[in-house]
Order: sequence, then structure tokens, then C-alpha cells
Amino acid sequence: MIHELIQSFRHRRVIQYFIAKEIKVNYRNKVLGNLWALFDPLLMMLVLFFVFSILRQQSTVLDSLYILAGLVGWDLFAKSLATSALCIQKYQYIIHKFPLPMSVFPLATVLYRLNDLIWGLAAYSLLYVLLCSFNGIAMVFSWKIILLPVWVLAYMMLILGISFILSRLGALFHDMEHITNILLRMGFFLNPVFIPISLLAENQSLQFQKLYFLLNPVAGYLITFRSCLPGGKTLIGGYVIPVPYYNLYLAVWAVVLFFGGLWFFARGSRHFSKYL
Amino acid sequence: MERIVVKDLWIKFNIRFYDREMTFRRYIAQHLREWTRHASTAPEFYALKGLDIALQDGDVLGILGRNGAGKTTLLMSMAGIYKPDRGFVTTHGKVGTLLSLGAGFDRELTGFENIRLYGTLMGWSPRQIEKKTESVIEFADLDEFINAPLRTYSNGMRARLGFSLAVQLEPDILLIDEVIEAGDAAFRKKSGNLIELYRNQGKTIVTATHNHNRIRQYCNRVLLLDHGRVLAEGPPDEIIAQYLEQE
Repeated sequence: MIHELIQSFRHRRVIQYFIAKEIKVNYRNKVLGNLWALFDPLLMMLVLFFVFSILRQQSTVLDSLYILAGLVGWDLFAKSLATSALCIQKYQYIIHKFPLPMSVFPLATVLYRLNDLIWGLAAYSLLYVLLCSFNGIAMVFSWKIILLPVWVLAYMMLILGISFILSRLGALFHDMEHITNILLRMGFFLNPVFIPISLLAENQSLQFQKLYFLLNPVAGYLITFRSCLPGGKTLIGGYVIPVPYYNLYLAVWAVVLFFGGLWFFARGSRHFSKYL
Repeated sequence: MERIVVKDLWIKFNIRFYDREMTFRRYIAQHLREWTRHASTAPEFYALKGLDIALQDGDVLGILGRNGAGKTTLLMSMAGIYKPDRGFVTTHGKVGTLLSLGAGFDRELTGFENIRLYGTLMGWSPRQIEKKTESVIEFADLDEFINAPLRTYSNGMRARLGFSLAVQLEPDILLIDEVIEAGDAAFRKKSGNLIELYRNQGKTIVTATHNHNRIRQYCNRVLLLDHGRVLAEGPPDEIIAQYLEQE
């Protein structure tokens, strides 16, 4: 397991190359190029905000920011996992010809999504400044923004752990892709991506909220993500997850899933080249 | 110096996974069937059964055998792509491979970008890639096609690109799997010269081919494989005669 990690680190240039290539291929021949990474969450936010304005009747600009932040955090998770089920098959032309450590493929697939995250954060910051200055809302910058890199690291470890598991299964079973997509679609509605956290706080008991965040670390990650962003505290209305040491709990999930996933992946990856 | 040591090499293919269209449903169905019958319905298939080979500097080994004898599997495990199920394979030095047409190429990338891809996979530094790209293009003789996506290439062009990349690697060990037959006469001559040059430089070459002339011309040892076992090993003429007899 550790051996696999060291081997991947030795081949970091290969990972870099795959990421750069992916960015290039994805945005080649497109008029807007890399800007699509910016428009994707923004357009989705507009739709969800529109739906919500109709449903709730009273909604503020902060709701749109809440949705955007949720989408940026969720897309990092969902898009990484949606592609990782197929990543071994996608690179089989290389696997059949070069003796590479297999973990470079899920690593490249997931780390590539950091590109989207950077654009998403840019979109959020831009929109925050714009909306606040147009609506005369005071901008709030909390010291918590320095925790953002820590959050990204932990979240990436969580995603990578799941991605390792999915890519091993996906290498053997081609239906893994569909299963992943169905689960992700369910996750979109089960997590506080666009549904206001205040709804949960108002309508459910403390016991339920505790259980919800304990069983679903992704929901916790999405809420902590928002609280790290500029103006984040107002987004979640000062909501505090009712579990003591919850951030530590999230970090434990990340570490356990990362190493557990890597162990599971390394056990099966030795013979991928034969099965593909 | 010993370049390749193969000791008691067994390579197994699990037929259950060998099927490309494996799905959860079929996997579970198969498992249930095996479980109720207390026996495996998916027998293991050994492509190589306990091979022992040792190659020194300057050895040029030809591998002969019918289709399915294990020639490609042996080359793939020497290249480190198939990991042994029993025994081990060790190689000393840089390994260049020409295992199939378009060795590790991405069809959507241009020839130029594929050179970069190959260089990165082989661990070249960006500067080395820059330096070698020119000689690769020159040797491969691709002209303006170097900036076209690989899917527009003919088989011969792809073989040429692969071959010139393998050359630029300056390998200590070269593994060739019947690819150079795809080029035109001029290219075959070029590649033939190169094998000759490598042989004279005392490098280790392993080639699987049905071209008997090529084996007689270059190889100093020949291995006759049959169903994953070594049937015979020895000087080219003797083994080729035995192979033809077998057919």
C-alpha cells in the first residue's frame, strides 16, 4: 500500500502530464475554452435559484451564493467519482504497454478536478463581491479562510479513497459507472447542496441532525466548506453542526477512507493489465 | 552481465475476468453457480507454465511458437506489464518495447504530443524530451503528419513512430513483438540495420516473430514455446527445423 504511494510519487510527472492533457483535450476546439469551468456551476446555480425563489417566495441573494458554494463543493466530489469508475479502462492503451503503478490513474483523474475547484472559487468570490456591493450588504471575511487548504486536502483524501475503491471495481465491472451515477444523483438530493441548512435546523430534532452529520460526512464537508468561504457564516445562518469535535471526525473519515481505499486498490491492481 | 532473468515464471489468466463484458449480474450468477456446485466453473488458464530463461549482454533471443503458445505473454511479463503469479522476472537496464502497433499511443493526440507522452512515461525530463523529439521525427520520416492526430496515421506510420521512439530510448534491452513487419521495405531495412547495430553493440534483444529469415539472420538463440512451456531451446537452424516439423 505504502509502496504503491511511493511508486506514484516517483511517477508524479506522469500524473502532471495526464492532468495537463485532460485540461487541454477537454477545452480544445471550444470557443469559451476553460471558461466553461466557470459557467458550469454559475448556470446550474441560476436554475436552482430560480426554482427556489418560486418555491420559497422570499429569497435573498445570499441563497444564490449558498447554492453556488454547495455546487462547487459537490461537483468536486461527484465529477471526480463519476469519472474514476472508468479511469482504468480509459487508460488501458497505456496500461497494456507501460509498467506504471496503477494508482497514477485514479490520482490523475481526481486531482484534475482541482482545476474546476479553482474556477468555482473564483466564480464564488466574484459573485460575492458583486452581489454584496450591488445590494449594499457588508462583506464579511473570516479568518477561517486560511483553513480552506486544509479542507481541500481532507476532502481530496476522502474523494481519493472512494475513487480508489470505485476504480478497482470499475476495472472489473463495466456497470460500476451506472451504479456510481445513480448513487451520485441520490447524493445530490440527500446532501445540503442546494437545500438550505436552515430547513434541516428548523424541521428536525437535534438527534436527527446529529445522526445525519455522523452518517454522512460529505454533508459535513459541504457545510464546513461554506463556513470557510468569505461571507460563509451568513450563508449558513450561523448554523453549528451539533456534534462535538466534528472537524476531527471529518478528518478521521478522510484518513480512514484514503488508506482503506488505497489498500483495497493496491491489492487488486497488480493484475489489471490482464483483465482489461 | 545478466540482463534478463526469468525464474519459474507462471502467468495465469482467470477466464472469469477474461470476458470483456463482465457485469455484476453475471459475476454474482457465476459465483452462485460455483457455490452450489462446490466447484469452479471458471477454470484458470495458465499462459506460461514455469519458464526459466537467462539472457546476457549480446544475446538475441527469438521466440517461436504457434498462436497462443505464450509468446506475447512472455514479452509482456519481461516488460513488467504482466506481473507473475508465481516465480519472478528481473531485468537490469532500460527496457525498450515494441509490443504492438502504436505502442502506448493516444489516438486523439498528434504525433508530436505522443512523443511527449511517451517521453513522460519513460521518465525523460522536459529537456530530454525536447532534445530527442527532433531525432525521433527524423528517424520516423513522418514530415507534416507529425502535427496530425494519430488516428489519421497508417499502420506503417505508427510502427515507424513507435520504432523510432524505442530507438531514442537507447535501451539496454529491446523487446519486439512482430511489429516491424508492418512497415514498407525501406523501413524494414532501416529497422533491420538497427537491430544489427544493437546486436553488435552487445545489447539484449528478444523478438517474437514468424519470420524465419529474420530469426536466422539476427538471433543466436531460439526458444520454441508450446502451450506455455518450453519445447526446445537452441541454435536457430535446429529449432526452426523442429518447429516446421511440428507443423
